[in-house]
Amino acid sequence: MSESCSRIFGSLFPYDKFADQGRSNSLYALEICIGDPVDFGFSTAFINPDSLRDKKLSYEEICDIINQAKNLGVQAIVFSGRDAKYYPQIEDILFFAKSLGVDASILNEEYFCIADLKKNDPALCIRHRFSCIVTSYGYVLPCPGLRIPLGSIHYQKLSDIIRDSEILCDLKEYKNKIKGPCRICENAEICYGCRGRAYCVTGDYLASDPLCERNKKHKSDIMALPLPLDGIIPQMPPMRLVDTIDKLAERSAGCSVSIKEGMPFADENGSIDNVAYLEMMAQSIAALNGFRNIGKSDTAPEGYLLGAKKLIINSEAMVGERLSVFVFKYASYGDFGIVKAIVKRNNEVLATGEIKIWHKTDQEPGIGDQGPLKGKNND
Amino acid sequence: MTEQDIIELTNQVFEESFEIEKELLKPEMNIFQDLGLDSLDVVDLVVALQEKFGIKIRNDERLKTIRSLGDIYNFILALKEENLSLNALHKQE
Repeated sequence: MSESCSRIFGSLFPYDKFADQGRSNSLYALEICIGDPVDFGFSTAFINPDSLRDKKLSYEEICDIINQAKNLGVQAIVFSGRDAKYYPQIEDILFFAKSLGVDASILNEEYFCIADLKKNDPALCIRHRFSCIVTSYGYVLPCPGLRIPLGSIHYQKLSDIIRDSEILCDLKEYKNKIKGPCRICENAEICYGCRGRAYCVTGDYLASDPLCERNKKHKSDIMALPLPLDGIIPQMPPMRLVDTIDKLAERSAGCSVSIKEGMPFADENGSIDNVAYLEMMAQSIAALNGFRNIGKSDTAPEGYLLGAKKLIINSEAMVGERLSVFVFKYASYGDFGIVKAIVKRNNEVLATGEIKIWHKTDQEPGIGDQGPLKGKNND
Repeated sequence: MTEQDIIELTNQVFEESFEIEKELLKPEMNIFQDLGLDSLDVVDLVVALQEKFGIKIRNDERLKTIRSLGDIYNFILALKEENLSLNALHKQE
């Protein structure tokens, strides 16, 4: 390993310190953006979309985040953002963090130098195993490049956000989850490419890094969204209603459906039975679970639609139309989950609902141990 | 939140989410055998309790011992107390 590889890319931490952190829910480093967001490029800062500009962190909230971070095991915090060093209470914040034994500093030039890689060095950016970012508006992001909000510090504890995040879980399990050439690269043991670059170019935070020098000859092997669902969901045509998975976010996904002639739910007038909306919702969540499973297994994961409630149908869909389905894993318990879903035609909401699903996870069951396996009416 | 509040709110969850009559909601009632819940209802129960009490219920080992309505009251009470102590500890630091 070259000298520049001894540190994790874009981080003050040596590689060895976090090489074996695995799926731990601990956190070892944190970046808190206290100034206005800026765009210096990867590893140092980020653009915060206007849609996130709702409520800036207060001084009390910043101190609370430091406290929560300390309780999670954070050893170092970097404060970033435009004019972070001119933030009115920056000295108090630094003093407070240091009083808790946390190594606190403001993003400075030294930090930029650490990110300066030689051309063919592995990126060594495994920062998701031990760090994350809190934006000045309270959103927790995996890193500056992977700008998917994992949760909001205004409403959730940092520990809950980190523990519940499927994206962080996937990134911590990168050896089983990264797809394409990065997975079989000779540096795969110590590098998984830049996840920010992978996400920005392909829409997939688990894709191989398309801008890595080593992947120059393998670009055709790098998958990008929207992705067809062959091998991702178990349903085959004609029962497969969902065509592609288009967008990924924390515990949620967006998929597309083209309603074709001869589709099982279409009648002779070309209108679609309302039950098709349920199937679209179920297949979309299967697409999200299957997508997360791509690097792990060759077969689509097993899953079942168990029921639905709060289903509201606003309008019918017709053959020839293209619909979007958005699904969000609202809650899960063991292998059971509640998913909220919306089916749209352009901006028009056609249907909304909640579906209950079962799909195999690694989680331990709880209360359900004592209950009978079938429904109350054994239906 | 008092113990009585916890009992009332838990009972509301059973009435609202599972349409179980108020008269049946006694601490000794087994949630599966007496109240008729099954394993598919558990995720709904967990979600409803989380929403009602504003708490996070995870795959806690204690959940495996829950059988009666009284067990749920005690579990929620314990979670609430743990959250209070945790918040107090954070404030002290």
